[in-house]
Amino acid sequence: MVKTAGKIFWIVLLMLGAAVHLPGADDMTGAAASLKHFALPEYSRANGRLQFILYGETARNLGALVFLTQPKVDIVRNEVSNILDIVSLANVLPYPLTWTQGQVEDFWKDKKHSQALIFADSAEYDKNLRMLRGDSPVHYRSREMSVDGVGFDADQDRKFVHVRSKVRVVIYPDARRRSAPSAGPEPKKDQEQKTNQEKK
Amino acid sequence: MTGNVYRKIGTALLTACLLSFSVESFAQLQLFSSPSKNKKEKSDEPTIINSDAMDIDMANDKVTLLGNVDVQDPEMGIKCRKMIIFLGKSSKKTASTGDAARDEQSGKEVVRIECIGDVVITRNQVENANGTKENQQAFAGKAVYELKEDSITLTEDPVLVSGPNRLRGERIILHTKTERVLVFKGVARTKGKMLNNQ
Repeated sequence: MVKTAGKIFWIVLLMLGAAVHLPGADDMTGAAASLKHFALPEYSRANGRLQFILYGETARNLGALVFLTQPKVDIVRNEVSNILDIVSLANVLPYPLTWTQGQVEDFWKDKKHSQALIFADSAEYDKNLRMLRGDSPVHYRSREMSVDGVGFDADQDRKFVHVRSKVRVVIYPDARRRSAPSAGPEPKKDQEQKTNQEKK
Repeated sequence: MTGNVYRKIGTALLTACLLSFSVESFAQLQLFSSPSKNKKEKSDEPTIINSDAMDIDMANDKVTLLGNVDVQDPEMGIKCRKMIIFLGKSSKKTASTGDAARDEQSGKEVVRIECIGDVVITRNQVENANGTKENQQAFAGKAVYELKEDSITLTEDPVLVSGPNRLRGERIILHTKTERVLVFKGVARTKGKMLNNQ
């Protein structure tokens, strides 16, 4: 009888302990955390190089998934070696597909560190798979081309983006013309580029 | 014996004549050559592509368009099931803008385009030798556009059509700038006459 009462006491104590500690544990791990107007840099597991910066209005963390609104991915060029070259693109909006080559060049003039930008209305980021997914309209912008579509899957490690439907692409004349045999002056040797990346 | 030799020589001459005729006749079609009107203005226009889905492989500089691919280019229109665009580091820069910051950011260039499945390449309303306008089209199972060489290689049952003229071959190579057309194992049909160089 005494033994049974002792067992019940320990079970109740453990349950109370669990009830008291679980919310605290959530706060400690950030499992229920939410962020507003954030910038989240992501680094390569292999070499520690800065791969991209994820911006957004809100982020709600549920386990391995982060639900994002107005996410924006700034994919950093491999050649970037100086952390001071990186500027915040938190307030940048996608330009329309109708922009001319000149307007696009002006847009990218002060964004030397960036290879491309991906904009969406909402998305979810899987921290385990390191993948960003969304069903909303998506806008991809780079110096060479612009893409609008609906729904996307972006693999961080492979630098791979799949646009699911309604794709419309604009390739700017410069990207096309550079290849033409008669275009421009003779090729110049590329300057040696430093690949050392400052680690966080 | 002598008759046999004459027959062989005759066949060889006929084949050579037909080959030269078919290549010459289609070189005059000016398929995929640049139209005379305002070439510069056209080259300033962007290329617009619509498709069902798309893959952007930034690590390998490759873009794949999937399903109902429809390209509207200043030079031509292309339709196919799948298109792979290969990008490469720019080997040369375009004319300097005078803006150092802008010139520093040399982007990538399109080096090769592969069109796969039910490929239709169209040049609309091109003026022919008689001064009349006609549509020019190429059909193939596969087309590979090498931008540096400025050539389009059509394979898998390729056919070139320009007005009443039609050219088939095992493989057709179009040099867009020089307007040269190479046909391998070709059959030409022009204004009711059929010519064969097989």
